[in-house]
Amino acid sequence: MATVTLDPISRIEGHLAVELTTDSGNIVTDAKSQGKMFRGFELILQNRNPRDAVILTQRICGV
Amino acid sequence: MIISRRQFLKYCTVAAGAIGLTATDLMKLKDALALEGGVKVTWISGQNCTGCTVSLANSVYYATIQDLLLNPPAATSLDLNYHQTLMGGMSNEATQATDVNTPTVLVVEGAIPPAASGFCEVGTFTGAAGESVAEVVSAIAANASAILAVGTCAAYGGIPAGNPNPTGTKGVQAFLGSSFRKKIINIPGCPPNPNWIVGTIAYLIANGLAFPQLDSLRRPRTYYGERICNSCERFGKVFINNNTPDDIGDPTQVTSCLKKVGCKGSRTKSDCSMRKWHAPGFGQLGVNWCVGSGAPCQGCTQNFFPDRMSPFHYIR
Repeated sequence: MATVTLDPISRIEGHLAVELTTDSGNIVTDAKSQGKMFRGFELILQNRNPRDAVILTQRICGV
Repeated sequence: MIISRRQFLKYCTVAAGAIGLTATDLMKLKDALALEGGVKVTWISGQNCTGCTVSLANSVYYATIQDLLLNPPAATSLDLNYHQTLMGGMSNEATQATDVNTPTVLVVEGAIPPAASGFCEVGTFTGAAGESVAEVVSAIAANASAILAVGTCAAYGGIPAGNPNPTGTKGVQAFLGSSFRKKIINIPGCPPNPNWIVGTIAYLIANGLAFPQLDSLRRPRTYYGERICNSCERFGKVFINNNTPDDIGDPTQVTSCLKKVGCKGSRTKSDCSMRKWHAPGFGQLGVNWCVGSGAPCQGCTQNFFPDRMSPFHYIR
């Protein structure tokens, strides 16, 4: 049984880490992924002019 | 893709013309790019959307991203040490191969939240697992020969630092403090035009890492020297009527000034109106830009974007 941690995963947009657990036959028995970045767009959007949401939310992902 | 010597000299000539280099500078650029290993560039992503990377990857005007950054180190290129989105390796093999003590050109994309907050972790560079972007940027910045803050988030905080700034995040200069001010070049924009990024890097290596002329916000004057309105094709035209939502993007209003529907061009400095966006090929200017397509300028290259540029659209 082994645990493999991949942090960061490259060639993607954003910050992602994956943790895999394998059994003795190298079969993955458990997998966890984590998004490692938080900006709080929901909080930034509060109390703003609704039309600003068009400009701000398009910057959630630039890919 | 490896460029031939002939292509490379062609790139240099166009690049030199566009960023105002002399013939002597051109020779220096040629020498700098031809060095074994080239100039080391370490690109660290903070609280970003990767839009700046995508913008860089769209670069065709001076040189494409393959020509400039991704050639094997022995070829005429920059040496892209680390880039989370573009590099082939991943995990600890990639992060621990990045020597944080070697002098490098540090490029930061995205804003930087406080170290212990856990809002942005970028991997294991110097020991502790899951280091925050703040720790990694501090470590690399200490030895960096130049720090490029690419994008408005990295330069001034941008949208992640928008009111109420839920993660307490900052731009690179605010994060590193005034002792690093002389090392920093800001290339704001949301995203910045690829020519602004590539042109600034080309200027740095052509001049032995001497900085271009910067304005008070530490942006290169070549690209951020004039207000949008100064060369806008809509400047001085009749104001667009501000009574109906249809006014924005209305194809019948293509020659009207957009100031009364929320254009921030009069408060924004960049050469968007001359350079434009989406250059179709090598050495060609772009096909269109925000205001040209009927969308008011958002003021994305200024340090008070987005809060003091809001509301972006006026409809009364």
